[in-house]
Amino acid sequence: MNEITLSVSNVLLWCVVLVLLAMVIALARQVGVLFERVAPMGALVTDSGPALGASAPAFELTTLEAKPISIPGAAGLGTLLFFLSPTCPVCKKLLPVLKSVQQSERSWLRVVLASDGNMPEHLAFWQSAGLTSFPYVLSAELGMTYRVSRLPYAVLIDEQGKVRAKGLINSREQLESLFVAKDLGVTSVQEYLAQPHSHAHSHAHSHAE
Amino acid sequence: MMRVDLVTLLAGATFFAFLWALAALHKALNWSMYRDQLRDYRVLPEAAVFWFALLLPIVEAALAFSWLFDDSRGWAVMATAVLLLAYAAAMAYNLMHGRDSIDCGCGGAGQAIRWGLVTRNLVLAVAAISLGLLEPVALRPLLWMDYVTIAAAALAIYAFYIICNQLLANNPPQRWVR
Repeated sequence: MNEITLSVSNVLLWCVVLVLLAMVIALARQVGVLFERVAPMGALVTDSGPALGASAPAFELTTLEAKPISIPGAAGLGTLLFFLSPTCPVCKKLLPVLKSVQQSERSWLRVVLASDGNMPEHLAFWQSAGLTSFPYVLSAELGMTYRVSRLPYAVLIDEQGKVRAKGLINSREQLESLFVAKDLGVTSVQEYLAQPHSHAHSHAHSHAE
Repeated sequence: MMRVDLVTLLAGATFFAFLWALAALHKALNWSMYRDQLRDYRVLPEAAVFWFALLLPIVEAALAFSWLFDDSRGWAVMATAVLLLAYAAAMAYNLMHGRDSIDCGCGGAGQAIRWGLVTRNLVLAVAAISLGLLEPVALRPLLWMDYVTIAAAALAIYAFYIICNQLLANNPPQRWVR
């Protein structure tokens, strides 16, 4: 082994080390970007329909089981209205999430599924999708009152019968954002992120870049 | 006093030269932003902020050069430790007063001050002092390969420094909406 052999191998190894380090830097950056991207993003809130903070319009409806149900519920009982349809794939994806919400929040919340259309189709869906633990109402008027234009759409009504959060829901995170909004006393997570709260970056100029 | 080969010593010194050169560069390039960040630290009287904002990048650039030359390296070691500890103290002061949302002013995409950065500065200060305590085994003539090693090793250490910073910045609390 002569000097040139050693030098070449050494230089090559340094190149490899530096390239690998550059890659680790890039990966660490990407992790950072990823963290920013998955920062809490709320449900898409629309301005139409009952205003946030306003009393929810009263409805007396009948479930698929032919039981009467009132929306909002009795005082002390919150309601999550979940608008869905048997033909909407995202709605089906969210059904397990709804079941877990119903379980974990059952002390103060009932989850009510809402749709409209013809009864047999919904009845079949209600049974085949294992939704029999949910009250399921069919009311075009309910959907129109809340101006539901796209599905799945959820409205969270608090224990005092006030609309606390609503929006188009596409993921578990967006559904959770409704509860976050209620817990924080803000109307949406977007508003929470936008307002200058105590932990926010206190100066705007460093964002100016 | 520990003795090491000259190349080890020079690699460390070159790393610190990189460190200060890039610190001075990012401060000079975004000077008005840096001045605002310095003001946010609230450790300097308002009238002094301007002059410190002007002076610190110059000191850092001078430090970068001092690390490269044998004659000035002793001075660079002390000044580096003092400056790093002063920065650490400023961050610790703000953290203890609950102002953990100000930008550290470390350049890059920016990140909020945190105890991890205070620790980082302490580690760097200790490293600088250790370098000052090391002595070369013998003054030997440097071959071209030695320069490759020095430059590559300094770059590699700087890369580790960037990675540590980035991993710290990835931890919560991250910067809020930009």
